[in-house]
Formats: sequence, structure tokens, C-alpha cells
Amino acid sequence: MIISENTRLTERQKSRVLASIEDRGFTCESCHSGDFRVSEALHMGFLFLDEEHGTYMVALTCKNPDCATPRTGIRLRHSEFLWDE
Amino acid sequence: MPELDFPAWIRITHVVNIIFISFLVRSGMEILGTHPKLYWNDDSKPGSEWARFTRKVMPRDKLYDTLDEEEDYSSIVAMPGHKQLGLGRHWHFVSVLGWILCGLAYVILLFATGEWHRFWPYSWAIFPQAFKDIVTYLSFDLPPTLPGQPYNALQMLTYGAVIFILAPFQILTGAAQSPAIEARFPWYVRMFGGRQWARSLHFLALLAFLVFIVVHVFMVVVHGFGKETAKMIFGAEVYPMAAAIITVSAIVGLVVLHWVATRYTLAYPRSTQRALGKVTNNARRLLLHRLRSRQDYSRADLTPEHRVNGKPPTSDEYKIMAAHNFADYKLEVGGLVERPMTFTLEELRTFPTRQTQRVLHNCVQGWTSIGEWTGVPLRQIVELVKPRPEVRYICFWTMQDSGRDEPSAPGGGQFYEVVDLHLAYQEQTLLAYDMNGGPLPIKHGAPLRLRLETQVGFKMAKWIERIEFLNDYSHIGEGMGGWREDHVYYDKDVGI
Repeated sequence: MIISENTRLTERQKSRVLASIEDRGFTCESCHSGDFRVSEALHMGFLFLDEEHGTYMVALTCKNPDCATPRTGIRLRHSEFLWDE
Repeated sequence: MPELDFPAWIRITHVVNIIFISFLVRSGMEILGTHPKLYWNDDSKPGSEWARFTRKVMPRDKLYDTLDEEEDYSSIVAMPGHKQLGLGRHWHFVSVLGWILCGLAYVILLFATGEWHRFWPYSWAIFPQAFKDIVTYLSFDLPPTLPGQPYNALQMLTYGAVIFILAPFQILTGAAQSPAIEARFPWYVRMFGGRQWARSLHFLALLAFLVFIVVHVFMVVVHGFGKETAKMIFGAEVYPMAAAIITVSAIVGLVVLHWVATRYTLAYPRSTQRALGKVTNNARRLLLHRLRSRQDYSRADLTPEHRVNGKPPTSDEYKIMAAHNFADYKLEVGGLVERPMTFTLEELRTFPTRQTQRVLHNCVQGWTSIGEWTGVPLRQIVELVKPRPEVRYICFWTMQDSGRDEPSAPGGGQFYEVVDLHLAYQEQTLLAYDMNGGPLPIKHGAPLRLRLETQVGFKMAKWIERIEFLNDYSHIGEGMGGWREDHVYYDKDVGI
């Protein structure tokens, strides 16, 4: 069994990520599409010396079927998407 | 029994011994300073050390690695001092070779000439007599020498113990810290209670040497400085004033020798690395390079929290790839091969051969951990890509930029390490993607790292992105065979 270091997101958390993408006007570097599928989030604050606590890299996949590099990511704070209600 | 005196060979080996021991002590302090903590467990668990020679407190909320724990010792106590582990190791290994050769010459001549009688307690009465000698010393008096002997009973036993017990013990515990020896003969390191027991005992034996030296010199003064030193200079109790002057001059000369060697080493680290490395590399290649790992530790031996050395790449490309569980990862294998190939992580995970090994990890800094690693035997990749006949080395290029990712290390550039091709064919040389039953953690080199069980840890490149087959590495970096060899003057072949 593969145990990832990543955090699995709930549908509500994924919705918040998509909202943040829209707020920021974040687009795919490769094809400039703004349509993404959200998957897991990597907590970076502990592992990477240049990252602050509570910072995550959220894995995004560009939905454009013609995109050359569909896997990308967005840097978000814990408070922006990862709280439970 | 021959008449026991102080022939020239005893006097010469005594002087040479002093020189080598003094360099061994200072370079040993340099090595200790790089991980200034001693343990009685092979997990080297933070907080479990029985002795620490640092006041550094490590953070709990941020990943730190063992380079952050390194201490900057003064050149007064360490050779050369100032966090120069690589250069300290060169001096330590050159000195130990000289010391062992000097010791061998001494012991051979001791037995060839019959002088060994001076250390042999012919009667049990020597032991209570040695105790009486201690009492005599404590009464501010001098005990008599034994009949027909140059020493009193206490001297006989002490010198004998230092030569025939302490010195071999120090050599044996030093050898027990060689990953090549540990990997080939796991029973040997277990004989000492484990690798960290060997390291701790090596340190305690160093303290015993220092205590002996201090007491020995003090006793020379008590017995009569000129008279006693004359024995080691002229071979007899003659010209005490001249002997005293020569001895003091020799001590000053030894201090000057250390000062010059230290200044030169710090000013010209590369030439020191090359010059001393020539001596030690030849010895290492002769003694250790062909040893193959035969380790198989039990699951119960696994270290719960493996220490970390090296920090993960901070590029966004790496972070995004990690967030996607390395789905986009590709390992390029090329260079002087007939079939350059590229492997995804999935392809490596589904490789026909999947090998798991539980082994002792030896960091060059001195700490250890026991881990379980799963991956593809490197020899199978080698067989697939078919290196050309001229290939002699393999270079592992990583995603780590040391200048960007490792502030505790001097210098920048892409981290890489070069190993000899023949090491790839060893049974336990592995490209590991799993650790302790789960995916290789980011802090330990995800998605792929090298396991090279007869070498110290820094050769086992983490975060590998490319493997290149070479017939020469002099054009890469500074041409020393690896990033650490280039920037911190480590040795390329590190079986010890």
C-alpha cells in the first residue's frame, strides 16, 4: 500500500481551492486554461526551508485535453482551503 | 633475558609515535565535531545521546539535517578546525596509517630483540607491587624499579596495557566504524555492541590515551625531567641538561609542525586533499574496495526515525511533482551506453526484480540508522543500458542545488556523486523507491535514491534525476568525483 505524504482533500476543500484559483486568476502555464481538477495537497512548511508554516502545494491537473504539461500546482495557505466545518 | 635498555629503534619509534598520536587526537576531534554526540544505540535517536559536545538546540517545527548540527571547533583542539570534516578525515587516516606502521615496526622489533620482556609480568606479585607503587607515588616518593628491569611494576603494567591492549583496541574500534567492514562482516560490529558502541568506545579509548599521556609526562617530570628524557634521546641517563633542552625544543618543534600543517591545510585545502588522498585512497582501495555487503538486519532492528542529511530540492518543479506523487517523474539513464533509456517511477516500481534489504546506514558524520530499502538493483539497469567497454564510473545527478537548498554547506551547484562502475554490480547496490515499507519520504530522497551499502551516506545520492555513465569525471565540477569531494574536500572512495 502506498502511503502518500500528501493530504487528501474533501470535496468542500477542493471547492475552496477552485474558488481561490478563480480569485487569483490562476491559469495553466502551458495552455493558459483556468479549468483544473484538484487532487492532493503537500504540506511544505516543515519540509522545505524556503516555505512558511501552513503553506501547501495543491496538485492541479489542467482539464484541457490538448495541454502539453497538464500537471501543475498552486501554493495556498492552510487558512485558504484546509479547514473543517 | 637480554639487558633491557633504550636502543635507537625504541627512541625513534617513540618520537614518531608522538607525532602521529598528536595528529590523530586533533583530527579525531574534527571528526567528532561534525556530529558532537555519542550514543549507545545505532538509531542515533536525537536526545538519546550519553555525551554531547555542543550547545546547539535544533528546531522542532522545521526540518533540520545533521549538517545543521555540525560544530565549528577551533584549530587549537581540532585538525584543521572550522568544520572541515573532509580534511580532518584525510589527516586522521594518513596519521592512522603511519601510526599503525610505526606500531608494527615497534612490536616486531620488540619481539625480535627480546625487549618485550620489559612488559611481561613474570610473577603475580607484580600486580600487588604495582598497587604499592601507586601508594608510594601518592606518598610523594618514588618506587624502585624491578630487578633487571628499566621500569617499576606500575610502569611495566601501564606501558604493557597501553601498547598491547589500548592501542589495538583503538584500531579495532576504528575499523568497526568502516561501512565496508560493517557491511561485509556484520558480526564484527555487533561484537562491540553495535556501530555507536564502537564509536563511543573509540572516544573513551581516546580519553584513556590522553589521561595516560598527561600522567606519563607528569611522571617524567617527577622522576627527573633531564634524567628521564635522556633515556629517550641518548639511550641512557647522560647529559640531562642537553636532554631537557632537546626535549623542550622537540615539543616546540611539534607545536610548530602542527601549526604549519594546520595553516597549510586551511590555506590550500585542494592540494592537501590531493596529497593526503593519494595515500589513503590507495590503502582504502586495497583493503576495503572489494568488500561486498552481506547485511540482513531484522525488522525489530529498524530505526523508528531515520536521521536526515541533505535538504529536499526547493524548486517549484519538484514541489509540484511531489504534490502529484511523482507521477511526472522520469529517470534518464545515458552517457556512454549503447541504449540510453528513460524510466518513470511506475516503470521502476513494476520492474521485474524488486529487492528489499535491511541495512545499517553510516553517515560520514558518524551517526547511524538502520533502515529497510526496496527498489531496483542497479546492476539490472546497467545490464539494460549496456555501458560501453570504456566506462569506469557512474555519475548520479540529483535535483538538489546545494547553494539554494543546503545553506549549511559551502558552495553551490547541482549535487552529484560519482561511483566506480564495479560497485553497481554488488548485490545490495539499489535504486530505492521505498523505505521501511512505504514510499521513500521526500526528506530521504523521494522519488529515488541510491543505496550503496559499503560506502558512507553522502555517496548515496538522493532525489536522483539522471544517471550518466562515464570513463572520466575530471570535467565534472571541480573534477574530484562528487559535489562533496569538490566543495568540502571529502574523499571519493569512502569505505571508511
